[in-house]
Amino acid sequence: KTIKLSHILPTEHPVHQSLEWFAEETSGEIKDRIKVYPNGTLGSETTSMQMVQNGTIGLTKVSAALLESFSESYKILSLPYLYRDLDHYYSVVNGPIGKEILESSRDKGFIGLAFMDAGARSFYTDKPIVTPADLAGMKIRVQNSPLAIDIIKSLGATPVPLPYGELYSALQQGVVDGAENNIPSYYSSRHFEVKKFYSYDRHTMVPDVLVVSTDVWNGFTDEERSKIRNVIMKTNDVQKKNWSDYVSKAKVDLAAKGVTFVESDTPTFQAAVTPVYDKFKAEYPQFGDMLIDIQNTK
Amino acid sequence: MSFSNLNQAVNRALSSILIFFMGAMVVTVVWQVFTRFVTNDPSVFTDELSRYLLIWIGILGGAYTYAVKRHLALELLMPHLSFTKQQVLCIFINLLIVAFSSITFVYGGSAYVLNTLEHQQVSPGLSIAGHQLLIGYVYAVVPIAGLLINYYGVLDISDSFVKILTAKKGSK
Amino acid sequence: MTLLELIFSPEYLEVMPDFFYDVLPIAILFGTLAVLLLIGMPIAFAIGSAALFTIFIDFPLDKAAILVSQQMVNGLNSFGLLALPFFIVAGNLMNRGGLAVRLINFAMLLGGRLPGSLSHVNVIANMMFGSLSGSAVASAAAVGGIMKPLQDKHGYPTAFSSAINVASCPTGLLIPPSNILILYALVSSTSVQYLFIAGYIPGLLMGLGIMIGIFLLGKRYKIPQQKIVLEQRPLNVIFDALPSLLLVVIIMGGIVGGVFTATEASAIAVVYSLFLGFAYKELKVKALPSILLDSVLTTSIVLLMIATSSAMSWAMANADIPNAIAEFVLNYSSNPIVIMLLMNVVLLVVGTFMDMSPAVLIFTPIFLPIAILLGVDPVHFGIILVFNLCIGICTPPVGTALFVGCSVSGAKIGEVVPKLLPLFLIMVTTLALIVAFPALTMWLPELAGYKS
Ligand code: NA
Ligand code: NA
Repeated sequence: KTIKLSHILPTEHPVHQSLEWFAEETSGEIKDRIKVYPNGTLGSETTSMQMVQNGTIGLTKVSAALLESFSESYKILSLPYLYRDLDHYYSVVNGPIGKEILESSRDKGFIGLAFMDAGARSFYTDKPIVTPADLAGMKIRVQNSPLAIDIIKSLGATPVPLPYGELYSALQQGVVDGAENNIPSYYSSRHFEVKKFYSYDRHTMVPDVLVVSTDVWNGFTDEERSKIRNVIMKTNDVQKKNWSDYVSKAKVDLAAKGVTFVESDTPTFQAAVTPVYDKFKAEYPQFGDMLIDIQNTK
Repeated sequence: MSFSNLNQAVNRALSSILIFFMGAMVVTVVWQVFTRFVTNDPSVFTDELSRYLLIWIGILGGAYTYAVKRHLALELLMPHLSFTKQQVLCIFINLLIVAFSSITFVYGGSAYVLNTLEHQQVSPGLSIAGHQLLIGYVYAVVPIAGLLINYYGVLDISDSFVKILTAKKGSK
Repeated sequence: MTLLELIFSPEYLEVMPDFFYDVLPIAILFGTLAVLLLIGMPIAFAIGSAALFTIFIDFPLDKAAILVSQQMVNGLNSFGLLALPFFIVAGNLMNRGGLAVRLINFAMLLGGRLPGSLSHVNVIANMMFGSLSGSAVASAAAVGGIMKPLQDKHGYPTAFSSAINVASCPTGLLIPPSNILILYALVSSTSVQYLFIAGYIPGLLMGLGIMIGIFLLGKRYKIPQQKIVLEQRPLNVIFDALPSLLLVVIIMGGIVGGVFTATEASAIAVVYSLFLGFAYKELKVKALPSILLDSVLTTSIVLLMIATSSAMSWAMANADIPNAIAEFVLNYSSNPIVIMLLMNVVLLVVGTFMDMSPAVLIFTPIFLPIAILLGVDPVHFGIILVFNLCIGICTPPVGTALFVGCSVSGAKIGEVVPKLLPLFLIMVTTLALIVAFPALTMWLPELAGYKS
């Protein structure tokens, strides 16, 4: 039998390569074969999630940001400046907190198998963004989520929730003054052609999640499940390498195409987002303990 | 209430809803431009609301279009048939449509709605009275349209039967 | 229980060759579709039923039913699609509000002396509209909706006029801006900017080809050949048309100036036509519901087809039909010209069964590597691919441009298609020129600094 893994990224994207690696390794270990369908040919991230929930497809890779509308626990991962550094991020998502979040959705038809590194999101615009003051009055395209909107507001910019498909033209014609994403997306979306300054403020580090249908997962034997878990451990390392290789390659090419990279003054950004945390704690008291746990993770 | 009265009431309700949705969709997108460009405080719900209205217009409107027999078809066979055979073909096609609509729209659609409601998937930018909209309600248009298609389909089938019978009487 | 398990015993399925699993979905999909269309089932339902049947091959019927309804909703869940209903509403408002007449009078001032002037005006208007929006269906709806009453008034044959509107509306997909070129750029990682520049000449050639078609076929299809002389004085006509022309300025200026996106522009067009219609006192509030209901009808005919064809695309991707086709192409020949020709044929055929966006998403990753291997530049190939699919959206059974063109003019598809056939021939010839002479596509981008 073939188990389908759907995602929306192009085949050149490092995450696709890691998923292909995962599919190939797993297929050798279990009796079913896993096949990757890239480019969203089996549907958008939302549709893929729904198909996972009713067991039409077995696996999908979606952003943790999207999962907010499927399971509340993922919300916490979209908080800005949540981690002190990369090591802190890894200890959180690969530790008990990450595990708790991944398991939280079992009764909603899906289980998170692993977080996959998706880098950090930063702003790209027509000018360097060093401090939040540089964002004042700018229209910045955001993903449509209340939290993402609050973050942009707290930094003094105007958040514009605009469909991704309209974004290239919107950036080119000035409907919005900038957008925010990680390097691979900035690169593969070709947005660098119209916005030449990429300012590293790294406001969020929202990982991708490899998701399996609860039905499909329960259909595996215990042995198969542990074999899959083993492959996933290795996939994490493969993904780390694919990602950083791709980012360095992309950065060389971007620089050659006239993109300027700017290091932002992160502490000033961190100070500006305090109200976002206050609002989050007030609105989601149930995640208060988890937030403290994350901050206390070594 | 007589049967034709019921029929008129259904038609009028359906067309009023569609007119309202179409108007609302224009207002929503204009509001999106207005809040972004004029008041500089972009609305967060318009992108989603306009898409949901489009889904409703497309699928509910599809049922209405079926009712007024405006759907496009390749009319290759129909013109070459006698009147009675035309009616028989009409009955056959309508039966196929009712079968497709019962399986896909009514059964598949309601299962889809119930699944998404059960899993509590929400719409990220749309909230009503402080609660995020459950997206399953948006999908409810599919089974609703399915029931309407079945209703109009059965009406049309019985229409064709009547036509065949009166034609036979006339010829005798 | 799946269809496969229903028809065949498990023992039989065990020994079945792979070939069988490749061909079965293709046979079921196209077989069901052909039969249902032939007996005259409405196209939207025929496509949906074919999709349901194909998915039923390897999913139980209840799952297949959920999948189809999910894909239907998903196919409509797109902000870019809003341009379609809005331009239909705007077109209807312009007709009823007196804007259309003034605009066309103005166009006649320019082109009224040509034989078959209103048809040429239609093509030119589609090309101009194409440089505003990236949507063929929006163009067919807006331009076709405005031209229809005028062409009726001057005795233009409905079927041929619809055919011209249908065949010329995709020019806007090549003339920038174009959402479909952006989509191709993303899947193929080519530059959007250079693709846009590359689209100008092929887009203009497509339009020019249709105009040549009007010259060649005009007499045979009884297009009025006499000059149209306006009774009003030219200056009056111009003055009269100015407020309506301002619509073009507002939309163009709004998009270029970054006030709104091309999709949002369609809603602004509705508001402006409404405003002018009231200002001319030709539009009454009482008439609005019926205008909106007319627009709903025209819109939903097409939307339901987009919805069910999105389920069909899913069925195709799920059954690996695109890969089977690619393998067929590569196994058939190793001669680059033959392969290029085959890919064009496949894309033309695919375009007749699939809508544009899924076709680009599915076939770019399959065909582009082959094309690059043959030495075709990705920008050139993108234009070839989109041109092919432009022809595809004008052909039944899945031709959104054809559907919109027919629904705004009220013509029957069966009457329009025969009139379209000679125009297809011209389009295919233009496409052949673009394939054979890369310079037609690549000259402008190379002038702008593109290096392959
Ligand atoms: Na265009
Ligand atoms: Na077609």
